[in-house]
Amino acid sequence: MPSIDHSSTNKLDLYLISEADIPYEQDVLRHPYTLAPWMRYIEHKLESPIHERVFVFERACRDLGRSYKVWKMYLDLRVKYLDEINPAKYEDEFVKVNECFERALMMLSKMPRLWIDYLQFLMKQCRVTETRRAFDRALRALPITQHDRIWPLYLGFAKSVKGPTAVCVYKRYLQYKPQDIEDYIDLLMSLDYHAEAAQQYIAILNAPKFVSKNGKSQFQIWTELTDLLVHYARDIRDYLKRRGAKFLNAIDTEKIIRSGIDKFSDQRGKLWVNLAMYKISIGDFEGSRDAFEEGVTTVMTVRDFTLIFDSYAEFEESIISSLMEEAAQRGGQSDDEKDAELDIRMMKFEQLMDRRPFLVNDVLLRQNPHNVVEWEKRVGLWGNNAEQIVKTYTDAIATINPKKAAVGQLYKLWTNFAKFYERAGDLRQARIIFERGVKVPFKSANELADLYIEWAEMELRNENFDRAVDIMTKATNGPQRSNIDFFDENLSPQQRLHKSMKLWSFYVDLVESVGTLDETRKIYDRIFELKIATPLTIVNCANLLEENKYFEESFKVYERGVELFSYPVAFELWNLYLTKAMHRNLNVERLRDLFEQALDKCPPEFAKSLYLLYGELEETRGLARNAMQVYDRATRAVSEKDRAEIYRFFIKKTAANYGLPATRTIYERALELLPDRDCRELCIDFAEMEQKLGEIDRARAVWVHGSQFADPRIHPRYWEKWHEFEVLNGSEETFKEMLRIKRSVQAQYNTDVNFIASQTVAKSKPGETASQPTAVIENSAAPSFESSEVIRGTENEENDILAGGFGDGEIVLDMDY
Amino acid sequence: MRKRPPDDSTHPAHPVPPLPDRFFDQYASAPRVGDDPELHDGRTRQSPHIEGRWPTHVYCEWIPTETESTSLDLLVPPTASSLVHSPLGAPLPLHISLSQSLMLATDDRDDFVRSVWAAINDSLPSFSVKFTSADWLMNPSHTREFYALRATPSDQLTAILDATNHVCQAMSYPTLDDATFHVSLAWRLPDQANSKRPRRDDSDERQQSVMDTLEVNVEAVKIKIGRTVYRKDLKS
Repeated sequence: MPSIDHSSTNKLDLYLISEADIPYEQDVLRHPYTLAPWMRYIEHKLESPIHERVFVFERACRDLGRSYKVWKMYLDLRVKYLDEINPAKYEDEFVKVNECFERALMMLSKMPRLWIDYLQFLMKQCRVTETRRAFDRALRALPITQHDRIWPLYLGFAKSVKGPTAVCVYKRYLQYKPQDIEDYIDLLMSLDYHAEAAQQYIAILNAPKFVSKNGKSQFQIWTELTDLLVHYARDIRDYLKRRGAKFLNAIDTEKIIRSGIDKFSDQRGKLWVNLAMYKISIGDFEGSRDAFEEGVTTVMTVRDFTLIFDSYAEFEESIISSLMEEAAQRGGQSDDEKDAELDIRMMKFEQLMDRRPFLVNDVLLRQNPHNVVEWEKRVGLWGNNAEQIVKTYTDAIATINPKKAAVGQLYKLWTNFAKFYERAGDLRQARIIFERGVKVPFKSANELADLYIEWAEMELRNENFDRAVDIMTKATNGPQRSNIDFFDENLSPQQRLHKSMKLWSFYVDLVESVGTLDETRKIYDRIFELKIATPLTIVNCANLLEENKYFEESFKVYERGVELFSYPVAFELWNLYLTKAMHRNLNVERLRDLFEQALDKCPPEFAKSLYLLYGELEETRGLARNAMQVYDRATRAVSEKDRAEIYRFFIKKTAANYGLPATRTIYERALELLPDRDCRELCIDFAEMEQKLGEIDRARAVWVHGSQFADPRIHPRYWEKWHEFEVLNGSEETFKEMLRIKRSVQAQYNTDVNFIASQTVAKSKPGETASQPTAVIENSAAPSFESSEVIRGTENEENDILAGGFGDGEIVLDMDY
Repeated sequence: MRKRPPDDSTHPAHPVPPLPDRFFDQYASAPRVGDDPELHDGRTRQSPHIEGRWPTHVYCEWIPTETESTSLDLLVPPTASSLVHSPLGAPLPLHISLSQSLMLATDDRDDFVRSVWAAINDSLPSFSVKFTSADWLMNPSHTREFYALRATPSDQLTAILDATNHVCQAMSYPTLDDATFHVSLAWRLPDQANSKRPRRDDSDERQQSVMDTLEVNVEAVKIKIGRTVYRKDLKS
């Protein structure tokens, strides 16, 4: 390594100048302060050994002290020369270059490039303080607009240096760029300067205009802070202690977490646990218990509660296990104080576990204090602790707002409270409770009614029948003429109570069983007066009177009922009324009036049974003619679906009373009026009737008429019947005619929508294998051939006559007609 | 008929605590059903219901025990309507009035309660009241007559009454000047009064002995405004 001596600048090292250099030397002598000759000289020496080049550069720099170009080239050369040299081993060489830089910067302190080169060069060396000072000088020398070129280097340097230096550097950097505070915090954290980090967090949280460059929300930052405070609680406390008494309260972790509990209501579970963990980590176990306790008794959700409670239990368990370990280590030696502590801890832990259901209940009641079901559960939790049960009920009653009691029924709470005293044999206090309970403005009047009923039932259980009646009398008390609507929610339940049918029904039942008939009748009268009677009340009242042989009175009640209710409700009442009246064998005229009255506004769907009843009356006690008239009326009055049945009934009755021929007109009218489906069946009956009378032609005409309603494939029965008829009564001609009609009907149905519909029906019929449409046609077409087969088989004697008629060609021909 | 004796097998009749005093502060009166006397056993309201006027009453409550109730029942004249038991057999709380029936304006309610509580000395101790005699008293509007136990005047009662009167005067509500502290046990309409005027003297002595056994412990002063009850506990 050639040594380069700067100190001997006075004497010229002439041996460094060779022959070839002379022109250049002369040139620079002629123009010593001009750049060009020097540059030419430097270029000329490009290939020379380092010391010769340095010799030229040194002289050039002396002459052109403010030339950036020369300095830059020179310094680059020197730095490059030391590039792969160990700075620790050859420290002297590095120092020389440093001095060179210093000289350059003395003249060119505004050159950021030189500073950067210098700093980068310095950073290679083990000279922390000098480097730091150089950085500081660079920052001082350069204008602030160029600081951004220095800082990345400086920060890199700080990070590699670590320790207080790094912190100081960053502190300065923050003055230049305050928004990078999060990087500073990261640095502090990486250096384990937790207290400072916490203070910086607090600073940014307190700055109202702070915007995180990493896009963190305030909550995120806050969470990071609390995590930090909780995790390094001990560190931070020690740090603050070191700083002195004045700083001890600089970071109040508890206050910070509590403020979070107030502010972030959805994170309460986690935050309470944090607070307790903090207390644990600073060794304040009692404090952490307090935090846990406060947590479990204030949180609003079961989720938060579970979180805190589980940590609480875990904490207590770990304390106990560590105490037990200690005890084990002590071995035989007993330490009364320690043993007592362990016992107390165990007991407390058990107690905590016992408290859990109560605490959960507390949470739910805090969520909704008007939750009746939870209050009931709370009572249940107390088991047999009478003192606490009474207290809980009292609390519940004082807390629940009847209008807000949406979960569960409030009246049940009152009832159970009273029942609690009743079970203990203290009716007096149970009564006090009921007396209060009925003053509660319940959400619905039904609840109030139920409460009164429960009260009365309690008196009944204890055999105070008169008192039960008194209670119901009081409950049902209302103004003589009441315009109050039971369902008017704007009125208090107490105002509407006297219209509660539930209450009245109970009252009536009660008086019926313990009172006299007159008393019961009065109550029924009052019910009717209040216009709250239901059909059931009417029936019950009528039955009661009937049982006591007040038949006329009972009929009056029915009268009242049918006045109060219109159809369809009235139908059942009429039905009962008329049946009972007929049983009583009242005057026929009166019964007729009743029937007329009942049928007056009767809708068709209910008319059937009334007409049948009416007809029965006329048949048994009146005139057959009248009965027929009634049935006749019925055929017109009843609904469509009942009509066929009524006609059939009418026909049957007519046949019985006036003989078969009289039914013809009815059949004819029925066929006109009834739907096709019913006509088909009726035609069968009609035809058979004519056949019975020997009117073969008429019968056949009916068959022909009816055939239009009977698709041979769907209703083979019709055709079988007709077939039978023709076999018995017809000739070849008529038989052929029947077959012709059958084919034409079938053809007609083929094009008909009905056919397609019937196909679908056939397809969807359960049990029938799903078949192809063609198969269905074949299947449905089969009966016609089968039936012809049957004809061949059974009617052997007529075979000759008939055989000709069954040629295929003929069928085709017939189809053509 | 549903008739089922209480299930004694699973819940043996063990002594149960009495209803706490707090219980009686809830639902002290029923919601309004209207002023129709028909709905109030024939009573006419002294001051009709007015929107924005709150019936208010300062009093000391007495919740008789079972034995006390029985004793009081003996004192109630047979023809009058009892205030000791409701018509449905439930024992009722009794009271010593410490104000008239005031009709407070809506805005005055909070002030009134606050002022009365402030006027009653915080160190006023709880006290007991005994009774001297029983007699009929007419209400100011002569619409009802009350059978009442006269209480022995005590400093505490007078102190509370003075406090109330003071507040009433300041807020220009009527004061209760006629300071006969009493507990009403029964009432009747005045037209029923004369029929049974001559009282059986033989019972007087027994009544006196019953009365002597009665002693009321007053532990709180209560104010009822509308249907809300406010209470101030005395120093125990």
